[in-house]
Amino acid sequence: MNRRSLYIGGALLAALPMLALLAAAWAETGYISPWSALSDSGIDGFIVKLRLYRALCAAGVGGSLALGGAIAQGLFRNPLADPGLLGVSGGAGLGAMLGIAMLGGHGAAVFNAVGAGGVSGEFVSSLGLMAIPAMALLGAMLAAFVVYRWSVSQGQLSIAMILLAGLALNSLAGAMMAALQTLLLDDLQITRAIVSWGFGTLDDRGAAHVTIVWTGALFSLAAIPFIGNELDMLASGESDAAALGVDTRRIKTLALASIALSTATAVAVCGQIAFVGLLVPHLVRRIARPRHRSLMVLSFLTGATLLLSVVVIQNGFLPELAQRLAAAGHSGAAMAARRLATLQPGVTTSLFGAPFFLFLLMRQTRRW
Amino acid sequence: MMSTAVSIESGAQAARATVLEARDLIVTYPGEIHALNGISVEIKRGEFVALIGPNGSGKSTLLRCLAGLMVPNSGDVKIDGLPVCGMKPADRARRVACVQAMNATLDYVTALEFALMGRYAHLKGWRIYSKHDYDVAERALHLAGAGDFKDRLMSELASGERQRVVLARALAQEAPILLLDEPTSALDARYQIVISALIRDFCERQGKTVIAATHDLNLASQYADRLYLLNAGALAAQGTPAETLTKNCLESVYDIEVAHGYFTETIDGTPRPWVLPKARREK
Repeated sequence: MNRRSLYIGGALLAALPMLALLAAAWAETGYISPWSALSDSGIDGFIVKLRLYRALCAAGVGGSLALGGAIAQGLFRNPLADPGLLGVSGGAGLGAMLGIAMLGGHGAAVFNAVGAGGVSGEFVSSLGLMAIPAMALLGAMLAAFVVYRWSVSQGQLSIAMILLAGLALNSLAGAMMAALQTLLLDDLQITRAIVSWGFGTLDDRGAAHVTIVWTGALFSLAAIPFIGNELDMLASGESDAAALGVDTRRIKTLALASIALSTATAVAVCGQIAFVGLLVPHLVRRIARPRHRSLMVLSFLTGATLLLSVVVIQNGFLPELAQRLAAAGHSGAAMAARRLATLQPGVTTSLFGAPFFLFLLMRQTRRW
Repeated sequence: MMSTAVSIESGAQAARATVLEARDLIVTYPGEIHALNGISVEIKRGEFVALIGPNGSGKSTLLRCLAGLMVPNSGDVKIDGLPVCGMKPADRARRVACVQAMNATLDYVTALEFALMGRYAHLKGWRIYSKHDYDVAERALHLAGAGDFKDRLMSELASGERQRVVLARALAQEAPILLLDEPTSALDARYQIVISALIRDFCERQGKTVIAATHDLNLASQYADRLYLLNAGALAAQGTPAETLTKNCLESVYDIEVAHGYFTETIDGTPRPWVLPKARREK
């Protein structure tokens, strides 16, 4: 890790807790001092806790997706790879949709459809809201497992097969989601829930969500010392890395598991947050000249900071801005700010991330 | 006089231990093409062996099998008497360093960082490169004539410079056996000699064993102890340069006409053959 990456990493690491505190203190329902709220068992304490869960989820999700992207780009030796290529997001989407349908009163029908009839309605409703992330996680891990099994032949793990199997699985999941959505089209509530899950949301997150996403994040972070140098070496070819003593099968499996787990938990907890996985590693490569170890650490920190900043801006800054604008008589602008604040973070990251990415590409080709 | 020199040399080799041994290697690629058709080789400690032969004769495949990077369809490879296919990758890399042709090198690392990767098999625990690893890598770069540009990015280097860095990475592995696929293909005349002399020195002074595949028959003739001439996955000839690089053998294997003679100003005083393919027009 060179000096520059070290400074950037340190700055991000210092910024993260401050941003989290800011997100806990400053949100749409007004400013609450997190210090006094910690000892408060009343409504203020409850609100601050909810905001903190949201902040922790945002940081975990942003970090996990960015880290998954960095690993995927290294593993596939392609800067355009993103963690969704593994079929994980398709699996998570299908799982979440089944979860939503189950909770929406179609529990028995869903279980019948997947060949597990006879499950009682009580069991389904006893799962509560956690059924959605649980099902999404299950779907994602199942997809990752299928892709993995498909790609192993004669003791070798083929990267090309992973890509192809992931692609096929993603489109299969897409088709099944479309079919399910068509079947449930008349149920407006469910359709609404499905659509809004697809946008990705960080609202109403609880301690369980935080636990899920940080389990995935910590697992992937723990893998960094064991795959960082190796991904550098894999970049100059698999048999070249093997000649240097890299256990390529083990590294690929570990990298795959890290991508799958970090992405699956992130997507399970807050739906699709597009672009973080693709954009953040690129951003990091631009500001430093990182090798994979530092690239992965910096990507995690940057992704976490990015999504946390989105939360602070959307839930703290924009409502405040709207209020001030309204007070100053700019009702149109106030309305725009308020609308912007209600957008899902996934939408916001794409809305601002995509043009920013294009800007980076433009600068790279020196057209500006 | 020449024959006595040859017999003395083979006598000295007979006393040495066999470090690398392959028996009846058969490698078949899809489409029933035999890349290797039952080749056996035996290489002793401290030998510098060159593999020569036309394109597609199986040189690279043989090297990859010897390095344990490819599992032959049948036959076995033993390093120090142990089967190479049973070794753990890091264990194998501490015994054999292998430089393969057509390296897709990394762009975003410096020459030093690249050479440092040769130390991978020696890392323990958290896999952090130590001061010693840096020292070894730097010394290897210096030996391979790449010390002057150790801090430059790989993407900025000329192909010959890059080839020396790749060789340095293999040297940094500190393995007793070095397998090199065309180590001098991109080098200028000076560095062809520098690197060949370096390899020769490794064998003589440090007792390393080197097997290099090359198309440069004259370089092989001048520096190698022994040559294997491959043709269509089988051994067409083997032995000292004088035994292997005969006019008849080369003309039949390569399907060309050659001018052929002997150098006397050689590294060990034994006359070694030189070869020059004769020019011809398209028939």
